[in-house]
Amino acid sequence: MFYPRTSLFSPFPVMTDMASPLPVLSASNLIKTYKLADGREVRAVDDVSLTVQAGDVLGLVGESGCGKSTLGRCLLKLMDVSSGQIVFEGRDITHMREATLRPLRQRMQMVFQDSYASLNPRRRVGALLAEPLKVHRQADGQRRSSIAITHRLEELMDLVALSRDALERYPHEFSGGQRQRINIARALALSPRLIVADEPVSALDVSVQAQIVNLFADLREQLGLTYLFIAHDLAVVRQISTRVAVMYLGGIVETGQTDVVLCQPAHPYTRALMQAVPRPIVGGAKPPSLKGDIPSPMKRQAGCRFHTRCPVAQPYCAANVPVLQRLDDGRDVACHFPVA
Amino acid sequence: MEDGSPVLEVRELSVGVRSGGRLVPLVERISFTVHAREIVGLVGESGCGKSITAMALMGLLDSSVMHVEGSIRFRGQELVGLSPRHFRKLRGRALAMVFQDPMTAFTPVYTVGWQIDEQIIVHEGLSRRQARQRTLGLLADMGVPDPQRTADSYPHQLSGGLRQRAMIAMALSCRPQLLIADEPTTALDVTVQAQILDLLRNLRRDYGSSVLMITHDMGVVAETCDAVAVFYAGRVAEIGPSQEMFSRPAHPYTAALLASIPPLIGPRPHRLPAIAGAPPPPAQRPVGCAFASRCSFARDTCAKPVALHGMNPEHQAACVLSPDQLVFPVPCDD
Ligand SMILES: Nc1ncnc2c1ncn2[C@@H]1O[C@H](COP(=O)(O)OP(=O)(O)OP(=O)(O)O)[C@@H](O)[C@H]1O
Ligand SMILES: Nc1ncnc2c1ncn2[C@@H]1O[C@H](COP(=O)(O)OP(=O)(O)O)[C@@H](O)[C@H]1O
Ligand code: SF4
Ligand code: SF4
Ligand SMILES: [Mg+2]
Ligand SMILES: [Mg+2]
Repeated sequence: MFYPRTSLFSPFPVMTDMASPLPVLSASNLIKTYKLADGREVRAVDDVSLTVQAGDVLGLVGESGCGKSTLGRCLLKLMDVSSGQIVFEGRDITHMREATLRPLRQRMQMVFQDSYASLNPRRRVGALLAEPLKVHRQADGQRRSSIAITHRLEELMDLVALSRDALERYPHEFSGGQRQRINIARALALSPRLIVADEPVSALDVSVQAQIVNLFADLREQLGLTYLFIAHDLAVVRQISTRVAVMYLGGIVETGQTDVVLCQPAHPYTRALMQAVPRPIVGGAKPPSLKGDIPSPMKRQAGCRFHTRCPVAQPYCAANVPVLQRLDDGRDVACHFPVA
Repeated sequence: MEDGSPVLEVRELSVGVRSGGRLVPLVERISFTVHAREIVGLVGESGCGKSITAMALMGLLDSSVMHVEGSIRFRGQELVGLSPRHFRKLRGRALAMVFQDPMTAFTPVYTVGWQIDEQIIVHEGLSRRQARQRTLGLLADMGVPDPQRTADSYPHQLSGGLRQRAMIAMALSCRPQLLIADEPTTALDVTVQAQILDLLRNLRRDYGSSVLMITHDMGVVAETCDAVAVFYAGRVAEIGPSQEMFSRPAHPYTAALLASIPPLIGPRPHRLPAIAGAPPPPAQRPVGCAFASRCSFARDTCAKPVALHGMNPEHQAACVLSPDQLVFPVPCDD
């Protein structure tokens, strides 16, 4: 199979550095270490650098425990990093005080997988959505009037394609897909610029999942949003993302334009991931290309973090750490022997 | 059962739950057959009745609230109405089940090996030492890299993939004729899922088992099942050989479900062909076609009950339209 290296297939315009000189978000050399009760440490994010340009959808993929959620939370300052730097809209927020950060927080929002757990069951949808509008002042420092709030709530319902009478109902009266629309509306309330969505469609059935993926795409176009879209489902990530970053054991092993990375993977791990996805085509089953499970993140690997499972590992890989290197097609890959 | 007669024959099986003096149907008049060494899939969205069906087959439904009707013939023996005592004899021996969450199959306080040994000892009357030999062999067969160490581990000490293999090993310990696998890979990562699916595909060759594969994932069905029944709102919408079903879906729901899966290769559609709305909950299912509220082909005649009928006896769909009337939108258009 051959796919062109440029993003000819992408339905979305790919933003270039020229179109947008200042990234919405950039991070360099982020490290996040969790300290466990028994004194041991887990390095959940291990030297990650990334840039998200305005209008981009950066899809973050990787298997369970590779550090996607931890990275997402660190980037939004929902938890502190151990080291590294985070710059949001040109301002270093890494060690910013909460009071200074507050106005910026409105501009970066998060949407989670479990749409039910994040909605207070005893409050009506209208009250849930009004909360951030009451807490945060407008850009001019004024509080919002109740008319302005009502107006905004109706606008939000229209944006996520729910009927306005949904505002009067309680979360349990909605299906999973509708609840996810409510969550998205809440994230949109303060007109953010960046949304970090952590597995936002993973709990939904395919037919409903498609509705929500479409909604994310529509909102991006309509409102000029930028997303960091975290998901383990490669087909979903491919559908929504302009760029992807593939994580393994806390580090990014490959990143670049979506179709470059996913349709012609250069990293053996990306390749194995793509091969492993079961597709709705009879006779397409292949023998598994990877053996074993992901090693425990407790033990730090010497050399390449993937060498214990890599089907093409060489002795060299066990002792030498590959760093991300730019290939001609603009992708970055951390492998001593990338697939040409 | 090498005489060609089916391992499992389910006919007009219905399960209802008693609720407020009413019987709410959860599963309605479903029929399907599993032959020897065959892998049959039950596929559908959450709440469509897959697990209820599996529980009915295993005799695990609480008969004080659930009402089961119809017929389940397992190797010729009728299971509907079978006493709990007789069911216990079947379970773990001729009939075994694996779940999405292996923690439900193991107790946390004993090692995994001890629990598999126990199963073998109870059913086959072997000594602990003989049983352990069998356990280690099974774990090795399941692709467990270090069977000895895995056997000596407690369930929580194992990774999700290893736990899943251990559970399948336990289910296979007495060489069941039929293995019911309810979402066996849903909680696993794709690279590990690929290994488990490969394992399940090889069971018929290595163990002579048939598998009833329950999943919401059309990809998993396509890569493992010989035949498949598509469930929608407690009923079978379409049933037939996988090959035919995936290349020529005969029910609008099957077609729409397939179309809504984003493609992994080739051009990306600007928008995914999603299905509007959601399936009706059990208490609100219409007498007619339950898909009507979401179906782009719906017409007046769909309000009456629609029976399964066929292109051929093998491949049947419950839709008022004939296959040539179903012109589906191309999945990946713009
Ligand atoms: N609060 C915590 N304390 C200690 N370790 C943690 C904590 N949260 C996460 N970890 C560990 O950090 C690593 C990364 O976890 P994280 O939740 O970021 O992964 P993920 O990629 O989001 O996984 P998933 O796909 O399962 O959501 C894992 O090894 C996890 O066990
Ligand atoms: N113990 C129960 N009592 C009442 N209703 C139930 C019970 N278990 C499941 N149901 C309902 O039966 C329907 C089918 O459930 P289930 O078989 O678990 O679906 P799935 O296809 O997701 O496995 C659902 O609507 C569910 O809410
Ligand atoms: S550096 Fe070596 S071990 Fe690592 S991914 Fe590349 S080939 Fe495999
Ligand atoms: S019976 Fe009618 S509503 Fe149901 S799937 Fe067929 S055309 Fe659609
Ligand atoms: Mg996560
Ligand atoms: Mg289920």
